[in-house]
Amino acid sequence: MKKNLVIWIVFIFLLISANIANAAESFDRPVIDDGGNTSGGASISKQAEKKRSDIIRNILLDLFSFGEDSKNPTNSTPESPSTSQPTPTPDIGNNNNLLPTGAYPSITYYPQPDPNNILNNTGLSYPSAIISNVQKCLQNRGIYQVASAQTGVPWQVLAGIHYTEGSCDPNKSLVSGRQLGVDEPDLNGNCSSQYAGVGKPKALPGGGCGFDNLLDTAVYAGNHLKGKISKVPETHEELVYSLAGYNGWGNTNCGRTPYQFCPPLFKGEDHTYVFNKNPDGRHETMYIVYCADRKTCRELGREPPVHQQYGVLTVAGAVSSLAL
Amino acid sequence: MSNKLLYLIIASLILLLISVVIFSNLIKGYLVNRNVAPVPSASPAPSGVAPTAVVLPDDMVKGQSIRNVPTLNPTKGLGLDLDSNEIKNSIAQIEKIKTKLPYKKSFTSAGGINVDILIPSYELLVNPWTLTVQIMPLDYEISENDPDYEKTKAAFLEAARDVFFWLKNNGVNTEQIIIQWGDREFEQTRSEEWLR
Repeated sequence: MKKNLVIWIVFIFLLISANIANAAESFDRPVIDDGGNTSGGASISKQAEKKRSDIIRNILLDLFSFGEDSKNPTNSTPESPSTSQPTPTPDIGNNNNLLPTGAYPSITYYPQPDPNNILNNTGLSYPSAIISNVQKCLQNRGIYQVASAQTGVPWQVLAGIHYTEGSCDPNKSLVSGRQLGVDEPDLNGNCSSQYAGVGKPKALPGGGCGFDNLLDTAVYAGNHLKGKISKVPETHEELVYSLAGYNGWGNTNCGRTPYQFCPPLFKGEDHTYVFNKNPDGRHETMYIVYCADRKTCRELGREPPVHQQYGVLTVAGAVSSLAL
Repeated sequence: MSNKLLYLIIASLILLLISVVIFSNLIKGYLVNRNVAPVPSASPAPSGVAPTAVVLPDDMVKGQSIRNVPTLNPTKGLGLDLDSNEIKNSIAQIEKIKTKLPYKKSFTSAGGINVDILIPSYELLVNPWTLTVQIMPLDYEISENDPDYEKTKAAFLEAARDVFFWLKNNGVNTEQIIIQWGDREFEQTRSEEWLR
């Protein structure tokens, strides 16, 4: 009888041991099976060790967190195979610089030679034709400067926008170049006489919204530009991005025109509204992309024509050189 | 050793065996769950939607439009009536996210377009009743015959979906908030077409 009992005890011990060994193997297997890492057993065992400790930590967290959502370090470790898949860039709310996005296939940061010159026009020599054409912008300099003081956007940039939209005509708006006092379709009727102030559009007697003086439109434009990146542009790259957004992104040249300097160095660097005719060796010749509403020139069977109008930064740089 | 003691030992061992079996199965089940790596979505919103067929739930896109806001009686003023319920409701919704702005996000759409979403800080909204949403750098003028048209539209819708989810997650009633998609007239028109 006693002999039988001892045999039973030994048998149960063997069963327990076998079960523990099996459990231990299962515990390790998914960790060391890393899809063909041939860098050597040592690294595998280190990885396995780390992941094992992670898993134990997770188990303990799960057991004792009482419903709290514990983090999963297994999936966030750099060794994890899942991290090699494309993932959206995380929310970058804490990053004051919206640009650049990690996924963009251009350079990650444009090395602005002079950090104090966001126009990036140090050493540029503007042709006399540009200088004589933009000279008239200086007549509005005082208003641009007041708007600049209110918005933080450099007055030369406001002058550049005004030239590109309305030829620096003091009776034309910086929003669309329309005569002051007429409806601005971009405003979409979104104004009220109950909400008035400097830089705010006015409700017009005939319906719609517009501006009745140059300062209001300049302040509105400055705020609008900031709204493209949620701050005052502080770098050349930010300024270019916000200006491209100000115009709309349909006028980028790369891939749609004969423009040569592709890919762009950074987002918007191939945008004709921003750079056209800038005398920097890259932007002297840029092209019109759209020859009609929602129709590119190529779609209409035409080669994109050379764009004749100066870009905002071209004017801003030229005005800046005049004002020195 | 008495038989009683031996039976006790055997019973204990059987109990131990059962516990080990249960525990090892629990561990296995846990590992199976843990080792199913989540497949990251290429879009910021739920995955599994083809780039040409991004569908937004109807209740999300039924948002308020500036065109539905009553205007002032000309004897009282011009333009929108800021005392209207439409404006008051939208202001109340925007107040809910006021401190969470700016909202910035960049992602690569399922069609491979790099998209930036920006809702500027509260002070830079065009007014307190309009939530300006910038989805860049998309070409809103793109022709429907362009080979990139569907990709562009899908990228916009993926981004819009992200915005709607973010708003919902922050307790915003998207049927009451006035959203302006982009600034230029052609951007707003195209966005509304795509959202329809």
